[in-house]
Amino acid sequence: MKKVLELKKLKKYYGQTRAVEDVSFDVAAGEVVVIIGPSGAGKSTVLRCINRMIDPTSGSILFEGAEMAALKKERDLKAARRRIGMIFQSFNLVYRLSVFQNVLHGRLGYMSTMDAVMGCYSEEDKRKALDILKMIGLEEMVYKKAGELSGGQKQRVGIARALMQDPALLLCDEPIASLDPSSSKIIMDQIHQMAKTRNIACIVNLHQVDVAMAYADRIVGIHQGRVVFDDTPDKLTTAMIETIYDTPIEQLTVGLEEGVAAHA
Amino acid sequence: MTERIDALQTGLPERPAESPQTLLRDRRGRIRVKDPARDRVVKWFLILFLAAGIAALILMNVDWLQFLEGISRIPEAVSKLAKLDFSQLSITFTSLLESIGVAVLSTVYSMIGGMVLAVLLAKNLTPLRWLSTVLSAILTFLRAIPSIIWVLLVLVCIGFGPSAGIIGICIFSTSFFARSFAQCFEEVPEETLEALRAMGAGRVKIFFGAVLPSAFTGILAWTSISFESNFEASSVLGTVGAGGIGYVISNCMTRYAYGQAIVAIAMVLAFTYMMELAFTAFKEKKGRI
Repeated sequence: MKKVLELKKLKKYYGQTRAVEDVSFDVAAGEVVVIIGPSGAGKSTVLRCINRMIDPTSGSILFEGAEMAALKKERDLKAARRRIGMIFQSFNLVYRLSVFQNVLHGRLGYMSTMDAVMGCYSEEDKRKALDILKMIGLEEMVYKKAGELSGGQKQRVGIARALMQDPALLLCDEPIASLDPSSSKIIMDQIHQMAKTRNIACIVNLHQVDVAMAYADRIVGIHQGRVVFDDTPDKLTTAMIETIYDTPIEQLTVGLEEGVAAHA
Repeated sequence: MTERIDALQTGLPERPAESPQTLLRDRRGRIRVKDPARDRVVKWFLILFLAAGIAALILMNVDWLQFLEGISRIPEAVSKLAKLDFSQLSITFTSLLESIGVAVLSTVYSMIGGMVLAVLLAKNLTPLRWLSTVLSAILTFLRAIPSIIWVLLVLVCIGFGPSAGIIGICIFSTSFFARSFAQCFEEVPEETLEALRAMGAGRVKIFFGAVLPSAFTGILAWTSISFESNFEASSVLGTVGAGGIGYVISNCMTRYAYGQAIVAIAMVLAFTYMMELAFTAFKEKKGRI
């Protein structure tokens, strides 16, 4: 399978403080990779280094064969970012604008500045946005303001916006951390489905090990800024989870045992 | 003292909050509901203010006898004003329109200027941090001087007429808009901006795509406030020679034509009130979410 992203020896220090020590893994097209690890392990930092929202201290980020870490010009960076969709824990929509406008924001990177300022989206883009909205089941909400939606619906708008970018890679930073269980399932199902049907490489940061087990093609465990596990979910043992989280299994998420048992 | 506060804040399990030594009691042994030590700053501020008030009263040497005499003359003044005189209605109306025109133009011009300055001023948008700091200092200086002073200064340069009024009000109003718009922009959550940056949108696209729409309600509110104060300023300006309804009012007063003056004042009042109602209605309709 074609590698979309290859991380090699990624390192990020804030002065003397370590955020990421040594992270290397790769993601193929259509593959869902879930990163798990305790808070402060550097999961978010890794994700934000990939699209250079944070500049890594050292290491290489090969995205579609090109070195992201070496991009100097603002224009090149923007062009690369267009191909990387991002989904956030707090949705990060513009709540005063309609659902439609928020989804169309996904095209901003491709438009001329003048068109973007005037809000002149092409009919083709509009039709595409409507198709995506229909697919994720929000066709009734097109003209509603994003602020009027429920949490789960907001995150679906977030997914639609990311898909509008025609991404080769989707970065999901704790996409279900502020959602209830049933919305979480819908969101994870949709992310998984999009990755498979559209052949998008997908990296998802998660807190919930059981969810990671259910949806990941591969799990990457990060502990104190280093990759300590990188394999298929069925290889993730209880002992390994304890290593990743540095905590005895009894003190981890409720319901975790069943998840582990189901995959054992 | 500090020990007691610490105990209250951390709520140590071995010393529960309702135990006697953490509770404050007044002189008669009743339980206090607030800690007087924490209000000390407010108390001192009020005492100082009272002292300043008394000092001002002594220094100003107000003639209370004259004041009382004045009160007795109120019915007389009211009866003079009550004789409504509509003879100058058309010129009064024209000058009211002139005042409104000055207010509208100065609001529009200063909105445009203020918007540009606000982008440079807002901490989350400015391309250069030091520019934001320098600009902030300059604008504070401009805002500290009332618009009527600016109008007088402009009058010296370009002579009498409404254009002096517009420029003078604009100087004050632009800096007011810059500050308040910048505040609206700064309130837009950083995460929203991050989302657009992550998809490869540049500064201009982010500003028009996310910042401006999010700050819309705030911009509307500040514009209505500023338009009201600009109208106020433009009506007062007439008295220093920049035309408009203020000139009519001051002219009538000096001619002892109270009947005409009260008609002009009533027109100002009516317009201000209508404007207020219109803005409120618009905000309620448009300002949701």
